[in-house]
Amino acid sequence: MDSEFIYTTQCELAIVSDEFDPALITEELNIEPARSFKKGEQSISKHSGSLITKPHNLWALKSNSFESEEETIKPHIDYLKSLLLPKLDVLKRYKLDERFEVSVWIWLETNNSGMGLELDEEQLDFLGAISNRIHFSLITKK
Amino acid sequence: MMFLVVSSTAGANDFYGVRVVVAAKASTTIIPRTVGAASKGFSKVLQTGGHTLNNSTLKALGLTKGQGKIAIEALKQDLRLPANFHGKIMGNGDLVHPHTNQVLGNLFDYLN
Repeated sequence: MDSEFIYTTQCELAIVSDEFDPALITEELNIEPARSFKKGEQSISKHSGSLITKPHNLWALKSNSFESEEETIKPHIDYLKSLLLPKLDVLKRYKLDERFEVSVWIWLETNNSGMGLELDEEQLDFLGAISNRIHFSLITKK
Repeated sequence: MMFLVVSSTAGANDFYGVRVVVAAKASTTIIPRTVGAASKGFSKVLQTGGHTLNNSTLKALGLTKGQGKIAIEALKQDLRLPANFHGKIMGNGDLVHPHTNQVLGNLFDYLN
């Protein structure tokens, strides 16, 4: 029987630095980011018309958002692992260097009133090895 | 003769010996009114600090709790603001850096 509840998920790893240009991170990891910006870059808010200024450099790699009836983010972590495991030494160095901050953002949306999520030891080891922090955004639409 | 420019009345008159020249065009410029405090140029500080939007902030911006949650989470995710970051939320939805006073983003830009 089909579940009436849908879970939309996405994961993004981002490296933030005040000093280091995202192009240097691209070069060192040899991976093109899904998005990036430089400190001081400016744009105009569509809503307020205010001048927006980026507060730091950012390099980010993200998995594609997808809908599922299962409460899982395993495909996202597998995707990040497939790209980043060969670069583990570089990421560990960033993690230990105070001039960088590496974070993983996990975005969860559901039409259910809540969501349960479990990460196994292997997933925890991977995320813990490469990041300084993990943030969960849980958006419920019920 | 001394000239004083005002914008509230039409025409030109002598007023206590001072020649009043009216800038009629200034009063004919119409700024469209938008919903509540979220209109452009509204720069009151609604909230300083905090990890979530207060009820009073949501009300002033005309946002539901759900819209507010999506907007603040999406903005924080986009910029990767640190957990201990405490910016100012302005009446037009701008998030302003507490020290540099630079605008970092606008909550309404993160709502589809």
